[in-house]
Amino acid sequence: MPKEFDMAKYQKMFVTEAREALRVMNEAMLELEKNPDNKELVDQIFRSCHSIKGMAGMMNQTVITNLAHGLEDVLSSVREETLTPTDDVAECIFNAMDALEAMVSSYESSSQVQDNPQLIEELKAVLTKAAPIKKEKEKKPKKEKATPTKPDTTSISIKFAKRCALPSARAVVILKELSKTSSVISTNPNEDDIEKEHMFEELQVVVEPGEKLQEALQRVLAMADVEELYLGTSDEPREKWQKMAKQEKLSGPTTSEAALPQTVRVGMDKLDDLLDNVGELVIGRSRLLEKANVRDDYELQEISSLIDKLTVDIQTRVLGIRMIPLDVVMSRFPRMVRDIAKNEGKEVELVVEGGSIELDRTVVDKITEPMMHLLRNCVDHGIEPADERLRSGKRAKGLIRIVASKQQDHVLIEVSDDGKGIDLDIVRQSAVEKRIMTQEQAKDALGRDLVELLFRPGFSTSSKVTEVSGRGVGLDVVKRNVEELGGSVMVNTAKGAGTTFSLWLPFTLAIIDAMLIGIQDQIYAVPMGTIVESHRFGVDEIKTIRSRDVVQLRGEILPLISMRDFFGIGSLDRSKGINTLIVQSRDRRAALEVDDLIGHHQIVVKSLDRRLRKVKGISGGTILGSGKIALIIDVESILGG
Amino acid sequence: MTKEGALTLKEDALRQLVVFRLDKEEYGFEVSTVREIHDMEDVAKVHRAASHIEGVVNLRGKLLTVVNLRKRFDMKPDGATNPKIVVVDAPDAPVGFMVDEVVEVVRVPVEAIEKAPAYVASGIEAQYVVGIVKLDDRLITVIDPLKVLELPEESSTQPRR
Repeated sequence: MPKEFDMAKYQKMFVTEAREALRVMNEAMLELEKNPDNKELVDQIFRSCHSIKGMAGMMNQTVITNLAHGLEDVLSSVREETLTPTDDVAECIFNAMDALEAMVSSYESSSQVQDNPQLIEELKAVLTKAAPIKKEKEKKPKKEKATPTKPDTTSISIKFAKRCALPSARAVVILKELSKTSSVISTNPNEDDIEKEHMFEELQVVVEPGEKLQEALQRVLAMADVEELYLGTSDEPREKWQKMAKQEKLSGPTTSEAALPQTVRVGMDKLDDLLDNVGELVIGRSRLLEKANVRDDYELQEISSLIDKLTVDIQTRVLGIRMIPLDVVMSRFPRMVRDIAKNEGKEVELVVEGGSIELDRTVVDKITEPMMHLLRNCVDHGIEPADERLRSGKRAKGLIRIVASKQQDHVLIEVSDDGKGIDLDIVRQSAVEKRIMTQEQAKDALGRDLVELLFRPGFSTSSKVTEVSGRGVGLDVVKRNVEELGGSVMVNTAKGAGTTFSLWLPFTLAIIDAMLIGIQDQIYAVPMGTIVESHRFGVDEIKTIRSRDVVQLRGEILPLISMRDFFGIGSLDRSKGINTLIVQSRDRRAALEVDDLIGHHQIVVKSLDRRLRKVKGISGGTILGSGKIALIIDVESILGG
Repeated sequence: MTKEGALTLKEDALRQLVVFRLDKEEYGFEVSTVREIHDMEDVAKVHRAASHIEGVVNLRGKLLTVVNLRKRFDMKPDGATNPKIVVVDAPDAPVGFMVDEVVEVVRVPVEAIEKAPAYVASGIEAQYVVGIVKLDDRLITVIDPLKVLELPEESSTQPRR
């Protein structure tokens, strides 16, 4: 490889691609354990392993190449059905994959990779167990079966769209594409005419079809200006030619890589910058709209509404680019659960639903660790050993479910097990031992308060409830990470029946719907997701319970929290009634008294300086169309404390 | 760049200082720590924040936290008619310091920066006071803004409450 190549770039690419290949292998391997006869899975694993070998070879990483090579040998025996991919063989394959993963990681961090000769020996040992070939190998490779014999030439007719401005240019590109896979024999109009840039609406090409002609045609069809494409053998009359359908991105039954849209890898930092710009654009758009609407200038209004529309488009697209499906992390979980369960001698089945739901990359990254922790928890001390389960009338195999679902403006991820549940008495005992509660307090404590204790730093790791796990990361980390994202965690547990952890997460962090309100001389924003409704109460509707203000709405008693009191500023005259927002955080509701309700806006969330992050009642800020700042009200911290 | 009271370490013969006024006293930041000077307008108050935090302002689309230096130094909190914000590059994000007035940028020889007398810069003050510059009949206290930021949240030079 010439020196001027930017090696760092290739290293990065190698690491990401190798990881992706390993992810695919892991997934396929887990499937394969369940269906050892599935040839396609074996092929997939083999292909991925092979591509790791190839990439590592290119990077001169002989250690990785050797291991991949050893693994490939085993896989090829599996493919030839001389080895069955279960038990020891599977274990060995998994081990090799883990070792590859570790090698890739150490290559990423230090460019140094430790050799693992022992593992290669193990792989060789597995190979010796290979039985002689059981079945007669099919004589004919599949490929030939799939493609019927073709006459020597194929005619293609490509119809351009009427608005195609430069058919010649387009035609040149198409011919280039076709000649990559097949040899072009003749064209109509002929190449001279094409070069002269005459106008035409149809291009006919006769080719000697190559192997990947179909793929090339799909690419041609996907080009702009190409409206229809007909295909037939040259000796057939034209009427018999078949129209080739445009393939939708996902509907294609072929797994061929060429059918995938072309992609560009972009660093997350660049997307962050882009999003910042979009944020500015959204603000600028609001200012423009404000100004345009007060002027009597039809043209200006038309332009501003065009800009408005484009801004919304750009915003949705940029946010969309940042979205990745939950599967990206969740696909790692089956393997993890399998390993932990095996380690503990338990039988566990993991069911994952809703993996296709897309969330902002930042959100997905931040919840990976918490979810892994929850899963470990489930296996470690949720699911009982098989004999114990049978005694209590359950299936021997424990069930863990991860269900992700869309809920209005949030995503709900539930991690649940059908294990023994959290024993609240043990929590009580532990709370007393740790002097968090007195004996009496513990006795009277409600389930909700006790469960809350599990999220305290230091509580979970040393209490009996979770000491089995002892992995250092506590539930407090789960809570903290989720809350940093503006989400929340809830626990539901029933002794003997299981535990469910519910994570409420925002789809995206950057742009949210909010209600703008006025308090004293400042504007604040309250996220729509926390608002139930707004309501105006008369002064006589304000009652007190033990000297705390309350109001009633349709029979429900709600605490009345004055934002002015909360902020410690002079209160407002209430004699003419008060404006309130009924807000909700988790299962708590309250009425927030504010000065004015201004209106609904989309806001770009900006984070506050480290020094202000701990301040109660505020979770961030945004910049309004006027350039002024509106702080974002943190309903949870107001209701919680 | 200027982690350790850079003024005492550099070899150059001249120092540039951004000189600003708090009440009747003059102070200086080394120019390399200062990113820009900003007008004090549209400050959003952050209630329940530490008392020396004046609020946040919009610095080209980002939220800039503004520290009220008078309050931080336990001086009479108001009295400035047209305060300015000196924006300083702190390690994680820029921070603004609200001052009464930005007077000038001066060049002084390194030797002109003298050690502060012990009774002025004792205890916690010694952490951020770099030295004193005598300029004609003026006295400029040179301080390290990053060290000021490291002061404990609520406690100040002389705890009062």
